[in-house]
Amino acid sequence: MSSKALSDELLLLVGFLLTSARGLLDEPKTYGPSRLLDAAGRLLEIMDEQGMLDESLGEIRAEIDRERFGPMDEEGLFVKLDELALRWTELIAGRF
Amino acid sequence: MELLEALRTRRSVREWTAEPIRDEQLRGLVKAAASAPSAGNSQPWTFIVIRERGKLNRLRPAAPGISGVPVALIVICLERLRTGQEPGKMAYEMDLLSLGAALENLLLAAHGQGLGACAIGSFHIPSVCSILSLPQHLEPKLLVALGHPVRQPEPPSLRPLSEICFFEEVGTNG
Repeated sequence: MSSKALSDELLLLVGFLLTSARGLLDEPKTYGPSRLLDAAGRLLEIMDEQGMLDESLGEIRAEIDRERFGPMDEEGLFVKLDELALRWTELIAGRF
Repeated sequence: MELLEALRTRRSVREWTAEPIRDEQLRGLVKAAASAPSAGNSQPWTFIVIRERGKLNRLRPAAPGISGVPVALIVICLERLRTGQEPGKMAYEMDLLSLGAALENLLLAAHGQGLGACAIGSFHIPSVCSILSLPQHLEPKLLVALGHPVRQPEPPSLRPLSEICFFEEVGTNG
């Protein structure tokens, strides 16, 4: 990915975050976690295109994408977010 | 595709391939949407089809409800000049219901053609109006993100009929 393409992707992401922030003032409470999960997926997608994801991170990205693009399920999302957060914590533990 | 099968198997598709949609198909979707019932046959809608990549890229961050990268968007606008009603008035609410009927027609028509669609209500209205240079009498109410699905999503969980359908009085399931 060229520097211009990366910059464009990041600009789109910033736009997404800004309009999400505005929208969430009025939107249902559960849209907040979904939006943050979507942002995480978008960031991982950019990192993937930059060759920054190893296999484990790629697996988490795939799981996040399954949630992003699948049917909305409020109860399931809470469980899934707990799992993802814990897995992420364990994954990056060795890096720092 | 048989109608009831289409009703049962339609899904909100949020992930699309890069394959474009033919203009003829897009016109067909709008025609299906505009065939929906409307209160007093008011037809209070205008549909704006977006295909250009540049405009799609500007609209995507304005509409955080769009998760993937659609190849087309259809903006469903309430055309205020048709009825001149204000929010809170019954006719305005009826117009919104009419837009909902048009939306469902559009989603089913897309599904029937093997396309994947997702209705988007989360978007920043002033940004969308600015990007599309919308005149004052057109209020964007819904976006429909479209493309060829990467995969068919899993069915969503649905509330049981016994919880939402009653015969003669609430609490009697028949």
